[in-house]
Amino acid sequence: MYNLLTVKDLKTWFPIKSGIIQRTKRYVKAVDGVSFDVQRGETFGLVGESGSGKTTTGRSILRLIEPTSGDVIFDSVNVTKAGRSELLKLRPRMQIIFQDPYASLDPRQTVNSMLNEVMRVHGIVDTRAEAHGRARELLGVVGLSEEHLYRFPHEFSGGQRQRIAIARVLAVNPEFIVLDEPTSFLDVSVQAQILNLLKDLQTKLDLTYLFITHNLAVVHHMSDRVGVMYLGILVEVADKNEIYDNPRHPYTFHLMAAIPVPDPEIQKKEILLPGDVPSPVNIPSGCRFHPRCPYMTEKCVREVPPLFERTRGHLTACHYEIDFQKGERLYEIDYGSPAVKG
Amino acid sequence: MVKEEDLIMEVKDLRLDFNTYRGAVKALNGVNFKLYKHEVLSLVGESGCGKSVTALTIINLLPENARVKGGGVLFKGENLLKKSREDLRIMRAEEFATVFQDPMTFLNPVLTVGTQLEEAFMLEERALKAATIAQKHGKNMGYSEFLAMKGKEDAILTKESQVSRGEVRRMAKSLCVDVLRLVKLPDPQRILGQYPFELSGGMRQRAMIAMALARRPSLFIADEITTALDVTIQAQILHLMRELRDTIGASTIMITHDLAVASEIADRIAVMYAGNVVELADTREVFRRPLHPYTKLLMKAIPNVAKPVERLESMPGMVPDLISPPAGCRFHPRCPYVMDICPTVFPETTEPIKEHEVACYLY
Amino acid sequence: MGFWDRFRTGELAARIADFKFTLYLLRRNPLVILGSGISIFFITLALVANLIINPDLAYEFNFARSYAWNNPYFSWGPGTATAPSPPVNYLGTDGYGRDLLQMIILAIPLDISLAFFITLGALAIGVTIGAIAGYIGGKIDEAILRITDIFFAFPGLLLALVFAAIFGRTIQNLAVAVLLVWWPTYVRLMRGQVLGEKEKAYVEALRALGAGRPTRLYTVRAHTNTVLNELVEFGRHNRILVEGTSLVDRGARGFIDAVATVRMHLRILFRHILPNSIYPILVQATLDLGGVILTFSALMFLGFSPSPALPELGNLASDGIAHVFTAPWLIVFPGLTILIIALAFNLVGDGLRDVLDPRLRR
Repeated sequence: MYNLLTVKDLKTWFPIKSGIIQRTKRYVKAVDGVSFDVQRGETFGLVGESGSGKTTTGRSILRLIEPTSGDVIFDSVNVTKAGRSELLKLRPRMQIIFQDPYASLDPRQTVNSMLNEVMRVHGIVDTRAEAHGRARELLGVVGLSEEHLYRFPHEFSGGQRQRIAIARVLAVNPEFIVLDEPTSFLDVSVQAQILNLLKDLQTKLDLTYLFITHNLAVVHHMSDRVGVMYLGILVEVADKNEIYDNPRHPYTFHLMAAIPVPDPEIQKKEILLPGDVPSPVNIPSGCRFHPRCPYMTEKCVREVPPLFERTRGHLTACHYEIDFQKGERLYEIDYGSPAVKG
Repeated sequence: MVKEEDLIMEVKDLRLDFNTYRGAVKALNGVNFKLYKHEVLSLVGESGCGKSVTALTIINLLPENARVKGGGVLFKGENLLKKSREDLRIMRAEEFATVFQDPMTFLNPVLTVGTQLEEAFMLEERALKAATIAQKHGKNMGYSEFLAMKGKEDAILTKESQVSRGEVRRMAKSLCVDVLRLVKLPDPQRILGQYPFELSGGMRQRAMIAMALARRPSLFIADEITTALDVTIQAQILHLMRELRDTIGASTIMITHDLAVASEIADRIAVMYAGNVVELADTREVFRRPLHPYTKLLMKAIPNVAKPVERLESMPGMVPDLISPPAGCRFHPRCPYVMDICPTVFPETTEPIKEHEVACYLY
Repeated sequence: MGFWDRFRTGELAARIADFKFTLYLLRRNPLVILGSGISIFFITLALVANLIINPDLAYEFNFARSYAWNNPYFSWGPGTATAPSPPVNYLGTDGYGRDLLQMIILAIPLDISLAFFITLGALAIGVTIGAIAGYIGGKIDEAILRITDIFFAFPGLLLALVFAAIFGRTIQNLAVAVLLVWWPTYVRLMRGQVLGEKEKAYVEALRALGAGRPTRLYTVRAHTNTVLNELVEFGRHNRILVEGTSLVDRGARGFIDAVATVRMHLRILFRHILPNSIYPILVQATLDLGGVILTFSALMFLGFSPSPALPELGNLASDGIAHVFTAPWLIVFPGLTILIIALAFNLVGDGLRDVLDPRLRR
């Protein structure tokens, strides 16, 4: 399959200025070395809690936030190093849907004005009649109707606003869309509608998605492959079913265990992760997860585990193979040996 | 199993409107439910269903343009809506405690956690009485004793208090430490000296719960307290609530839009839609045998990791506009089982299965 | 579609409905209604003043009637001079024997038009500079802030003095002087608003949507390309010429893209950020209308008037200082007029501010 997007060792650090002369002594290492691929037509899910860096990753890929180092390659074009001209050409192809439908639309613009502006700026249509027709078409694709054209954002519900945002993004004919928690502010029933819409659009328009969320059930429903982020790095990447049935990293496992299941019949074992989600200012040494990990050893404090492919397509950043059911470490990973066929 | 003598609160046919520029928003359309001692009842529903509004009506914290149009809230026999402001104020202080979604808005950012928590103990002479009793009986007063004492202090105190201010403050401080330990906050002494912004989201939520506990409420209202938290922290808070439930013995109304969260913590679930309770039963019952069409569709719309599907079943249409809501049963425009009778008048709540109420013409 | 249909459907209808909502909110506050009523009254008066009262009356001096009071309905008591009865001077006469009421009415268009001119001028300049400073940030922002600070530091009176001394003591120059003292406030306000607004999600969304390339420039470039290519042909693929043309070509492309980017930023700043952040500044401007009148009148009062007989509220009042015990009406009525006008604009501004808050929760 063809790699549409390749992210190589992406780092985005925010300097913290302190002291009288405002020197930069420390950094908020929001994204601290992330690498993954997304193939054309697939949905790559990026999960993590607050502070994991998933939102910053999405924005850094699009250069809405300038990354500090690393490369993002989109369809053989190096996005991070692209000049102004290249970037202008790339923008329509890589788009983003934001989390907050109440903030991502200009409150003083009608839907019509919004869509017209986008189409006019990109020279997609020539005449006003064409613009009107295309606007109607776009609204139809996302499930809205012509009468919605002349309303202001505040007259719509959250779900409808997300649809408008999607219509606006579709107006520029993108190939790749970063979906930054598109449904977390929406009601459950509306979420279902929007997720269905996104899936339909993906098939119809051959789109590739990077789906960022903290909701594990949603990411399982939408993605083909899932990457779990913790404190700025990926700790596990695998097929969606692998991640859920066979998590290898302790953080992934605890994350799965913490999801409330809407079924009181299933008696969950109480597996609680101690401590709080840490801040990306003071990153622990070695394996970042070690202060909260029930299986940590001295090696975990010393050495940083690489994201290693233990079985085909399943990468983990942990020094050990662990049996979570029994709650014990099995053996140490030898990074020298080639990937074992799962 | 619920026993009638354990009934602590009953909301009866509560109707409420909000007056706005565009017309009257008919937010509550006859809400009915009962709350028993020691139980956790969860009000579940999507935005606009009226779950938060119901809770605000109970504690009388409504905005200026709210008008109660009918019904009542019977708490321990008295109708709260008919009480005077002063009586309600005392009631709020002594009986109700509320924790909201965003602790940052409800904790004073310029006061330390300790100051605010102490204040909660100092109000209504709680610490004063506690200190007097402790002095008189030479007992050690921890939070559990403090809790057990509720309501009985005046009977024990016979004379004027002879306790110094310093002793009262010390009692308040020690109760603070005790209650912080109860909510599993590590290093309580240090937390007392910190400001709210220095704590993480989960810790702030625990601090708020601690402040609620200081009032020894008989009714505890939790309004979307885990919505803003990460999944792992949410699991911790839910675990804490489960533990506290047995220690405190208060009744809890847990408001959430997340059915999964409700299933983890509630004894009974009340499903609300557009201003009505449409289904009310034990948690297990609701999941095993959902009766109301809305409940059934809601469950199908939630992605469930254990049972993955290709397409989520979504309900047609949208949550109705409460300024001109649908007539009769407000769900009828979206209901797959709609009948001729549905748009006429809102259906009566029936009990087709024992202790499983539903408001639908199908039953 | 008839002509009026465009007001019923479409963009315009939406905006009109929106405007009606604002009016509704404003209507609920009685003080605002009072303030608006008075303001509208004075503005209308300003428009018709020169029609109802002959402006030449300002230069008809009649010293026999100066500092006199002959209002039959009200008396200031003994000690005040009176003038012969016809014509009746309802507010007395000033030092030139002119009817004070007439002079006040003639003064109103001057003061009000100055108030609007100065405020709108300061607003336009301040908002533009402030918006650019806030949006661009960095060194340009710093530079603009420092320049603004210099203007802030100017005491208004001193500036007016200097201006008058250099450029002559005319109304226009004095108005410009007051404007120069006034605009820095708007720079600060707008910059603050823009700093906050540009972090919002919809701005980020607009940046993500990017900019297209201006097609007209493309046509120009295409033409230039043909010319260049012909040149190369003409020079028989002379290497220097070829390289030269490719350089120019790349330069042209770079230029077009630079233009596109700048246009995108300007569009985001002035079409999106500005309309969303200007409301508090408009409130400030409404309040400032009153303040400008006060400032300008104060300048006149202190003697900067180009001509002592000029009908201007502050000017009229300044004459009254020396005669405050014998002809108190000279200070009272012009002063009262200034007060009422400033108060009226203030009330409107306050009402606007109250309207803003709940609407922000859209």
